[in-house]
Amino acid sequence: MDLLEKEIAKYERRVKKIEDNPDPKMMKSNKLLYELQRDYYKQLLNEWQEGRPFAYFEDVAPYRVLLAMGLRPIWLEILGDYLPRQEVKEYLELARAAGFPDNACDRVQLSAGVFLAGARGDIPAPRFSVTLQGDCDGITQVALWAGRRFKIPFMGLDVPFGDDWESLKYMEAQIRDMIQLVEEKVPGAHKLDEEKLVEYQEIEKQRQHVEAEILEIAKAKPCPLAGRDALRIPPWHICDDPRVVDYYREMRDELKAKTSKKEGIAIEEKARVMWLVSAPFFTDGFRFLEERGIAVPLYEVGPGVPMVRQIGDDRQYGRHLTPLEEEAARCVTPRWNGPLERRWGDIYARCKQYGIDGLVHFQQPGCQTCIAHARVIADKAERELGIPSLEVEGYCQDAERHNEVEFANKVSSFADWLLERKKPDRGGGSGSPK
Amino acid sequence: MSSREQHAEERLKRLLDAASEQNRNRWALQWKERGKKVVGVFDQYVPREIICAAGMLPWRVIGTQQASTPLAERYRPLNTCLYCNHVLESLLAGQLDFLEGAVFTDWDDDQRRLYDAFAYCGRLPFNRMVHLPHQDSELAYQHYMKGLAGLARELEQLSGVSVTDDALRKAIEVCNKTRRLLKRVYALRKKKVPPLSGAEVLALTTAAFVMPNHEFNQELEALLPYLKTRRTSLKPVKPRLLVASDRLDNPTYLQLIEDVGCLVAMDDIDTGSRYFWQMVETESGSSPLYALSKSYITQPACPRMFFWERQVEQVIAWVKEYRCDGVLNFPQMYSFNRLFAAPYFKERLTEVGIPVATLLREYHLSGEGQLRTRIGAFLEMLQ
Ligand code: SF4
Ligand code: SF4
Repeated sequence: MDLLEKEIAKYERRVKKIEDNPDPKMMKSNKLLYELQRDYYKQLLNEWQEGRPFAYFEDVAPYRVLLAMGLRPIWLEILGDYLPRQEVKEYLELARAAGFPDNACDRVQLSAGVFLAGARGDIPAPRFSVTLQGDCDGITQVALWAGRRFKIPFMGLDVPFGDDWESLKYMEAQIRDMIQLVEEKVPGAHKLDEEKLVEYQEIEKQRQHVEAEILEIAKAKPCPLAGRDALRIPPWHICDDPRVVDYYREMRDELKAKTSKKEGIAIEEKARVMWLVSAPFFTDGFRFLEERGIAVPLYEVGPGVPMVRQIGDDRQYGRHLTPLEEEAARCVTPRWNGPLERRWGDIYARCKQYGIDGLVHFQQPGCQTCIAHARVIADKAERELGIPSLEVEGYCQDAERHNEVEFANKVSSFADWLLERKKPDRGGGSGSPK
Repeated sequence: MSSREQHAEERLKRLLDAASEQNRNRWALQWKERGKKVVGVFDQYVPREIICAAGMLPWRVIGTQQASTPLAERYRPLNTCLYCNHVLESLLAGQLDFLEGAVFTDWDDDQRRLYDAFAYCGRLPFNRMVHLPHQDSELAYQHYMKGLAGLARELEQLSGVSVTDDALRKAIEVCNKTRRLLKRVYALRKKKVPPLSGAEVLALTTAAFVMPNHEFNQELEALLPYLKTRRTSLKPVKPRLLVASDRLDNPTYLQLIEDVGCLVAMDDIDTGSRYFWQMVETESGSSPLYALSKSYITQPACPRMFFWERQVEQVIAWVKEYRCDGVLNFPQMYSFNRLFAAPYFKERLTEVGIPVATLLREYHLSGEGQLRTRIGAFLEMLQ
């Protein structure tokens, strides 16, 4: 319980800091985000004390369905993403001591550490574990291992390459199997409450709607959105609190106000890059770009990028989807799954829409789905969009392994080179920096 | 040794040498000379039968054994799957130019990205990746069957030969014969003094990747009587090991293990037992594509599939059947699925009293000194 209490205290401190002494460089709407986070952990703690059944899940397994069946889903990866520094270190060690590979992506290791911490009582133990295999072997295997470790019912959902109708139906059939398994084998779970599911989907739909507006705003020059905010993955784990929509509205309004005052993150925006994969969470890696006048309006899997199905988008399949079909559609959308064209299609379109001048490909050791892809994408970007790419190695969470000096040098020299290349008398040049 | 035995021994040596770096293209090139096409496959889940039924030669791709992969680095960094990097190096160096195409499954993230590099660099005219379900269920068989049907249609276009049910049944028969023959060889491994070392067995199974099945069958069938009586320099060696790995296609690795002082009596490797263990059962009236889908999904699993339990239980059963004293889990250093499964693998084997060690390796033979020391320490523990 210690961990949840620590998280609650952490967010209390953050909220208080904003109230007492706000940092003008940070978004004011962060206050509501921190309140949401604080209340989320409070809710976990209360429900734990009350004996509510919990489930672990990974990737975008249909967590809203679990919630609508009376289970409280805990997203191991996301819980790991928000961990305090001390716990990061401790949980990484926990995973490694259990024999988990220490050359795997640190987020995957941390996810394993989180569930192992669950086994010793840091977070509630689960009665069910589920994952889907889309684009990341590691994250998938962690949830399956958790199921085996806790000797509880567990399930892996298999994701096909496409998001066509047939793929959706394949996915839906598996979700139905999952529902049956939960109904039959998970103590404390109840039948699917479809009304509740629709309610949660409605919250997400509204959030996505505002998010789409934010994305439009991010196209403005100078870009009002900071890289670190673009990186913020939506708090999908908070799927039954309508204040999530309020948070997005506040963020949108703040950005709108900045745009109307022509306030950007970079004082004078000279270029913009799209950031791919991930970034260190413990430091602002974007500052090396932003302080040189390069904006980062877009992060590959961040807000609004169509990695995620837009709920209620009836055009995609030519008809309104049932609630379970919606969940299935969400599962088949991630673009890192399947062949290159899916991921590249998104990157290409976004680069065009946002007038992107370069790509930064964050190379997280152990993230095979991305590091084994970066050079092909860089090659395509150069050929099809005429923009250069930077490959930069780093860690999301493992601060001890992250080489900040090398990271800073690489990003800074790329930034300088990019600006040099953009000078009109350079005629655009080509190639990528060494 | 009688002259008959000598003749058989030489014939065996030739077969064991078929997948060596200097020989492995031979059958493919002969096949091409006859105006036929050769298609590369990359893992145990692509049914060879479909390629055969389309009148082409399925050729399991083995990468170059050279230490560095400078050409592949253009597309992939060094800290990714070593098998993939070595295969890509072979492709870019022109060593695979005899292939008409390549068929992949999304075995894991790394192989999926290998497909992307193959497709992107466009060196081969045909590249196709089929999604392989992770589950063992009726839904998964149906899904994979559809993927295989799509593959069959594309292969038809590539070869100009229709993939009929009849042709599939014939191909299944030939490939099942390979499976039966190899199972007979594996039965001989249960002997106290088996006729083949672990390294030799791997040379034999990889030979089946690069030869047309009927030719391989002919050779092996002719050699089986000799194998039953073959006298080798092997003594009743203890300990007997089971080696578990993926993409281990270089017998020298097993040689190295055995040289330290043991016998590799059984394997759980996609290039070894897992490649042929499961017969394809065609029930009358049912579609051969369905039979292929179901049989390939249910073959002895690799850790990429969701059902690790079955994989581990299979290993436990093999350990008993082949009287092994321990298990060497021997992944390549970026074979993450095997690495992710390693704690569970160890836990379960330990529970039933089977000693297990996990050692990392490269793809090409490297780090021999250190490996010998570590293997030595494990063997000492077993004794
Ligand atoms: S960064 Fe890559 S390996 Fe790590 S969790 Fe994300 S997709 Fe998986
Ligand atoms: S299983 Fe291992 S060898 Fe095979 S593609 Fe994956 S990383 Fe490479």
